[in-house]
Amino acid sequence: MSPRTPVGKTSMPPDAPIGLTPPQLWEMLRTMMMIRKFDERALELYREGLMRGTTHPYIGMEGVAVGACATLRPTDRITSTHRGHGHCLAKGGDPRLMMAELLGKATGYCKGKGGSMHIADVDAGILGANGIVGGGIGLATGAALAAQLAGRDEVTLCFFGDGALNQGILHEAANLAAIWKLPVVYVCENNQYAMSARADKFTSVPDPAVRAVAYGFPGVGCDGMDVLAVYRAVAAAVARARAGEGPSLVVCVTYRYLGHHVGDPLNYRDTAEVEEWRRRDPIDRFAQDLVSHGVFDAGRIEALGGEVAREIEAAVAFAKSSPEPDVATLTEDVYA
Amino acid sequence: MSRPAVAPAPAGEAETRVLTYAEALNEALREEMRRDPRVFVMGEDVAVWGGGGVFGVTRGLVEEFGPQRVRDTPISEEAIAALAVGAAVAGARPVAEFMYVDFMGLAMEPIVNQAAKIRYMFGGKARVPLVLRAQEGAGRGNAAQHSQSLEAWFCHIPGLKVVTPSTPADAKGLLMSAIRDDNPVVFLEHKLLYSAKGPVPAGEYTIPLGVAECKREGRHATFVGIHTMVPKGLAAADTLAREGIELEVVDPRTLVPFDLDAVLASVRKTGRLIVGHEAYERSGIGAEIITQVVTAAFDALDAPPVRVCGKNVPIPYNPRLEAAAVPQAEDIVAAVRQLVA
Amino acid sequence: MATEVVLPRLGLTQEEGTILRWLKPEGSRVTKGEPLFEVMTDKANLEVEAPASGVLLRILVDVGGTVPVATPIALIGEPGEAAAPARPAAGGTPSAADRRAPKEAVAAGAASAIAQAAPARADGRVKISPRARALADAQGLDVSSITGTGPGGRIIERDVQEALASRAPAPPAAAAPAHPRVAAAPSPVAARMRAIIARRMMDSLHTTAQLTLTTEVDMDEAVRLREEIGPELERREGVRVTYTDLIVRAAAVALREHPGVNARWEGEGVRRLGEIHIGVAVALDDGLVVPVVRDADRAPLARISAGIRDLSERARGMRLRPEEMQGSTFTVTNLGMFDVDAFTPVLNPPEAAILGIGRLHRRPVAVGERVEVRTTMVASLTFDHRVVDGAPAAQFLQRVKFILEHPYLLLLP
Repeated sequence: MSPRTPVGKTSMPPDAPIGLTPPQLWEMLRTMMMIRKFDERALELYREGLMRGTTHPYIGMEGVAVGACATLRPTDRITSTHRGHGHCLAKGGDPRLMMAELLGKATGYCKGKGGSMHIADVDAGILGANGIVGGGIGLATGAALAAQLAGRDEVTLCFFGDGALNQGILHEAANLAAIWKLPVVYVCENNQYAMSARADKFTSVPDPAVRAVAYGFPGVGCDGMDVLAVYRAVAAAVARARAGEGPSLVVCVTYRYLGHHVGDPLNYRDTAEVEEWRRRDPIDRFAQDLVSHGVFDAGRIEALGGEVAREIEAAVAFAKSSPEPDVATLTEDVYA
Repeated sequence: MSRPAVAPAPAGEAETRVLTYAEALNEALREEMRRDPRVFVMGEDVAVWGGGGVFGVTRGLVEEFGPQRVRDTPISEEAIAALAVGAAVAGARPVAEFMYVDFMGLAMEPIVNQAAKIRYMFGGKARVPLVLRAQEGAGRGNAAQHSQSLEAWFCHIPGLKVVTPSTPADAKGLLMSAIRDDNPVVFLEHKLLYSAKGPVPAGEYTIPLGVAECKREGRHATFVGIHTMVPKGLAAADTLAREGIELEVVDPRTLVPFDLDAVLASVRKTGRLIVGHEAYERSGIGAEIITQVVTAAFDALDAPPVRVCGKNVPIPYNPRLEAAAVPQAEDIVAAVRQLVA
Repeated sequence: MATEVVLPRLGLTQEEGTILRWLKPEGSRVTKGEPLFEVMTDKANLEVEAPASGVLLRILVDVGGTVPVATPIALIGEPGEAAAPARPAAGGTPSAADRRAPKEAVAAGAASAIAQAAPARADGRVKISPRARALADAQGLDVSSITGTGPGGRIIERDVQEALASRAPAPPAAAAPAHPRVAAAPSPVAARMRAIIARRMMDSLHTTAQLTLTTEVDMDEAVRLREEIGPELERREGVRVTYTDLIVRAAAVALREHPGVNARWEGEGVRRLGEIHIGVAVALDDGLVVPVVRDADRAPLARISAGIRDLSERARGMRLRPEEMQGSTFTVTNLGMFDVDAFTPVLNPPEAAILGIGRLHRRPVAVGERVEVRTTMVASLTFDHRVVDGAPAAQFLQRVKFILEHPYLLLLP
């Protein structure tokens, strides 16, 4: 499937105000690199047999998580998916605690009891990755309800994939969010494949964003490989929510370079397609644009790559040297 | 838990009046919503219909607390549950209502995979202070999809608590405790009990979850039952007393956590156990209770334990068939007579 | 340090792989990312890239070798480098001990509970409820002889309770007494008698509606009779008449006149007995036996007296025949020789009444308007209210009193 927007630059012409300062831009680039490196290392750990279960690499989609979370305040919240490492890092998650959780260690975010698909830090506004497709949709809408009830200025971002577009809960939650004008933003990461199911074949409309019309709230699409395009679209939706105008749907078209999970036979798409999307790599594009617009110089960016790699290595080392949870903790925390 | 006392009228200096089960629940909701602004109610037809709720449980609440805190919802059971879970994680204390327990099938994903597991999966760093209310039971000719008792579904899932009050006082005391509990509590009422009357203390009245009550003492056999099986058990005890057989009636009140000690104390006294529930017999809570008792107190049993339960059939529409599908007081009497013969 | 190349996990369910081909020979230089070997998993044949750049120092697993995931299969580094120390065990896979531990912790409660349940029994054929079994075990009762009244003949708690009520006591401790002054164990015969007495006493108290009436009998006339005819009887018949003899005869005469007392409870009602056989309780060293005087209403006093003498003697010598200890319809029991005034004798089942005799006691009594010293004796009649009501029982006792106060009536046939 061919990408619809042309390859090349990000949507950052020097004269278009975007409201992001260089430090913010630097942070966004850094986070995208962190996500890439984290998931690459996670894959290696998995192949080495140190990580169990499976892992769902976010590689290629970094523009969505970072662009969207850059619009949020620390008091805002997100719900994530099974492919959640990117969201968690973008919302401020600590890679060491995430790595430790992937290795099932007691020092992990979930004390080793959640694993990759259930990483959460409720106090930091990360209401959890979720092993159920669409599982975060109702939760995010409920969190928005709680904020509204308590009169808190708090927006909840709900990440879900094209695979969740057809879960009934989306219909129910979207309707409720609309009638109650809940401060929630539904961010659909359309990487165009559920597992092997192609979005354009299994969704009844070619552009999922139009489904928002059915609920009476705005639905927009954007190029998910362009971090600033994502930022713009989500920022508008967040502002709407914060102003009490209710929910929005933002559909970010993106691509996962690797399989749905490790061991995916990938026989449902061809490598030529993957190569096309790799040419629009969000990190490369963003870095190139920052350099070409003179925001940062290439040497600094290259050094940043090394710094990120070292930080991720430190996270891996932390995780590897952390203790296993005590078997006695098996029955803890079932009930409060 | 210590040996249960015989059920007196609820103690205390508080004034005690006769209320219906539905009025008692209403009072519990009202008291808790006054006490804690984070408590809110949502469900289908809880605000407007007939002044509040199909069974009157939420009567008058929207007038006092407003439509934000007493929310009517569209027919969206999965979302009702899922939003309630999300709101609870984010700091609210929702009381979500499901009009019939039968409809909770639609809501099982957020209840089973989210509410029950979030605290554990997140390493103890979240809490889900949530009450999911629903009503169970046959006897109104509502037929198969509106008459079930499904408490066993929820008892099976670690992370959930399950409460089944049988009297107005128990309903009030347990609902207030359930709302204050920081865990997801599935609070199951019975449609035939809403109009039952009983003494209910005014004001703050909480009954701890996980404590059974001996509703009637007896020496010859122990009957453990929930919901309408409690009044049926008491009626059976009256009949049996005329034959010189004393039936002890124990109401667990909470199914998870279960007051096994109370049941064991009774079985050690009587040597005979009958468990009654309206729910289908197969894989119902009776199987769990009997297994726990046999494992813990095999040597105390003078006879094999007996179940007096709903038949393994969908609840039929015809009234005679409906009555035959669920256990009646006569069935308890017959079972006890056989046990002590 | 050289880098280990391990067999990678390439799929969700993959646990091992087989090396199909090495794409570079040992000793050649490889670049990170370059295809290094081909592996066969359960799902597919896959090419795997080198994880590092350097010289392929050693191939550890040859073509055709099947190894578990994470096993080192080659070394990459610079010539002369040693391999890294042995990698730690895969942290992700719980050791067998770990995997066992939570199950053990969780199952321990259940398992110990199950272990505490009824232990295996050699006589596992006995059908008995756990509660009954526990009670029997606690009391050292052998259940194989009990008949069960529960469903299917199961022995249940009440069966054990009844068996306990009527069983022989446990044999005395076999171990030598710690203290030399401990009394010797009773003889087996005495032990058996005790058991029978115990059972019969409890049966009597549990199965009858017994209560006791007392009356004071003026025995002056009876005393005079005995003093006057006694020596004569002794000279002629060789018997010495006792007050017990007189009372037995008096009771027999009164029973003839009050047949309702000479009866028993049978099934659903009263059965009057045609014959009058009176048991006379005889105290022994370690017990009590009740030989029976048959047809006491038809025997003259001399024969009663002789009979009682003979029976008592042989009773003390344990030489009674079984039929001499059975069949009584009424019993007389005398504790007067021990200075007992009155008592509440226990019915001797299946009899409906028993007469207890107290001591003869000289004391002042009112006779008309005067005070005289006379010999009195309390007669205590315990009767079964199922068979006889209070008034008829009292009337019978009143008649016995009358006969004893007018003892020439005893001479009537």
